[in-house]
Amino acid sequence: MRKGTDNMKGKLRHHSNAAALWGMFLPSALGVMFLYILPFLLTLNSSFRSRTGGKTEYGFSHYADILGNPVFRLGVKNFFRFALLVIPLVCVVSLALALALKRWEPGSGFLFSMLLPFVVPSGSTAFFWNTIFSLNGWLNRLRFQCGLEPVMWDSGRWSFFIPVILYLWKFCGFFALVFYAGLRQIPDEYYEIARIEGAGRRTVFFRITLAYLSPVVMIVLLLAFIGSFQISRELFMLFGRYPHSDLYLFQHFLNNHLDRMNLPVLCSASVLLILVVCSVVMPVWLVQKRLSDTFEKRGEFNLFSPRNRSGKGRVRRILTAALALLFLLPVLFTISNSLMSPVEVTRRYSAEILEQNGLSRGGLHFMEPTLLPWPLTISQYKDFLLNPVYLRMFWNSVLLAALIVAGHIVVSVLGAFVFFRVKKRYMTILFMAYILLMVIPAQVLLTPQFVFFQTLRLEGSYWAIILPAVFNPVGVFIVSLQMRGFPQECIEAAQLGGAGELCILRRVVLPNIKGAVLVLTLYIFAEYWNIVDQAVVFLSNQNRLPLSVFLSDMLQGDMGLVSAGSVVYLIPICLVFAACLLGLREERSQSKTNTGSEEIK
Amino acid sequence: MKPLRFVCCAGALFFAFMAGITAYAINSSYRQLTEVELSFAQRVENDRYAVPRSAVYTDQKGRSWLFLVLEQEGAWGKEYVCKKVYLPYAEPDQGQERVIVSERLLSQYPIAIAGEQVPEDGERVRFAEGDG
Repeated sequence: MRKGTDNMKGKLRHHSNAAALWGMFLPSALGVMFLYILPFLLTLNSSFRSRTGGKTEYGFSHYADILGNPVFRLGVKNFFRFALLVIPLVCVVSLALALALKRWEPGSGFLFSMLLPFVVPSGSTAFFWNTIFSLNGWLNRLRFQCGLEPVMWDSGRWSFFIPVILYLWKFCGFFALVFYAGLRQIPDEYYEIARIEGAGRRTVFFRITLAYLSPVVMIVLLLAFIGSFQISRELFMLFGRYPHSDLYLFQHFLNNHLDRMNLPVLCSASVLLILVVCSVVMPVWLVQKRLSDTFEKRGEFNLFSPRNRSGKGRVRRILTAALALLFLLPVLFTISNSLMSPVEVTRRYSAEILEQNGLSRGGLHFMEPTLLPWPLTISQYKDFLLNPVYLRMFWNSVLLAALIVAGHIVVSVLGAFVFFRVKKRYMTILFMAYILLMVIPAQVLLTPQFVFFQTLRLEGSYWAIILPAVFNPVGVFIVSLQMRGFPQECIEAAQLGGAGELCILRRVVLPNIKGAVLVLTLYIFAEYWNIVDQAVVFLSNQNRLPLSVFLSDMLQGDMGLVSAGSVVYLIPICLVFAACLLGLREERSQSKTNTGSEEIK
Repeated sequence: MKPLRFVCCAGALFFAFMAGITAYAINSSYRQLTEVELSFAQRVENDRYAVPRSAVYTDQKGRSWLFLVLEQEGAWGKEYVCKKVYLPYAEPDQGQERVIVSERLLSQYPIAIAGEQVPEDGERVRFAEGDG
């Protein structure tokens, strides 16, 4: 009788646990279904549907048109040339940087500087690179001073490398940190065993470092692919909507058709891109999954060394400082420009030859960027901070970012936990679907999402931006990868103690994945703090726009004022980054203390 | 002080500063607006309205105009702007305190009576104390 009651209790508990798990998964599943899968299906439908003479027909006519479109072919060709060069390159460079970081053991200040390019407003980034590469820019000034003719960098044979350099600068630091966090998870004993067994450097790198880093490589590859679309905003600012044929990427094609709301072309182009992405991403994912299943190990996200950092060499310190300067340069220039008087701004950056504005050639004045403006003035800060319109935009950004980050973290952690707990085949397939949805460029889904929100009469409200951001599958992906290695014994022990699924998540899993949550906070905050495209598409009311939209106009607008705004706008994100990095460090030191006290006991 | 606590305090201070400066900026920009008095036209005939004489201006070419007050959505709530409207007909009333004008919009929008400073077309204005 007692055995029967126990069985009954066990079944009831099993059912209530299953219900709790599905309850946790519901927000993510519904959000992804309505905001990603449904728009994708709408995209698919529009790509096949055509109207001729008032009749709706389904066929491949849009695909035939688009494949015959030379502009599309040019964009795709350039995009793949760009992506095939830049994605492996950023992986290699950031991995090399991460390996160097592992040896150097830098402080949190350096790590912080590495993250900054990722969050600098797109207007400041574009302005900085324009100062270097434009016809009257710093590079041509240097050539002119050496007696060489100025070069049109944005239309010659070197033009293709400008986006590559821009991309490397923007993402290299962030990806290096992700790699660095991954490297710190590899137990030192593995290297010691390899050393004792006489393994060479190459063997250690391929058999230990790269093998154990495979999930991180996957994350970086996917984020790098997403990044290749994120960079389009800066490229538009630098080279316009119709740049030189070598610089015309697929992103230009998408954005130009998005502006015209040319749905059939946009949809068929997107479907073709998604097919190509699927055929590349899926095999990579399967190989990575097999590899990471073979090497079972995980730790926590760890950016801070447990080792003694004494004995830093001078060369190492100089190298670290030089690298930090490279990452910080655009920020320093933005700060410097924000402290210049409007007269000096015009004198230094005007293309026209004015009185006392120095070096010029052929009626063109070379820009004179400086880190030390004189006289210093805070008038542009005053103009910015005393204008209620800009302040409203600032608070719009704060509201958007706060709601997005909070919602995204909750939904992602719950969703990832269910992926971790339910080990079924259909969940693996669903997870692959999440990855695919994650790599679909935002521009592709913007139009169907717009139609969806229009149906709900939400197209002018913040929800049209917040909801897709909250349910973005990228969070589930990042947190699930971190949860995958969590020891099952801990879960089983908690279950034996009578803990429910929510209790297991809150008390057992969550305290151990704080690092992943902080990294996700960092990534999502950075991505949506500088939101431009979604805001322009969804928000018709100027008073509701976030400040990032105003700051993206730096090349056209009042440069000094926009610089001051950019500096103010950088402060919250710097504080969030600093808090996340310090949070990671504190968590690390706490876990170290706990381990230590357990050992003593 | 722990670095994390320091960063949190710095964040709290920054946002408190931004909140303070926002309140100050809204208030000071409101105070800088041109002050006007609100008035309403009185219908005297079909298309004829009587408006206070002080609301009607005449330029050197003899053209008369007045300012209508339009409501619009501003950055921090509703704001009011003056719209310059030329009057095709404007004749002084018998008592000389009112002017009879013909303008259909007068039935929909209130009129602005400027003080010492005359607003420009499209300029944001605030109302004199007591006008709400």
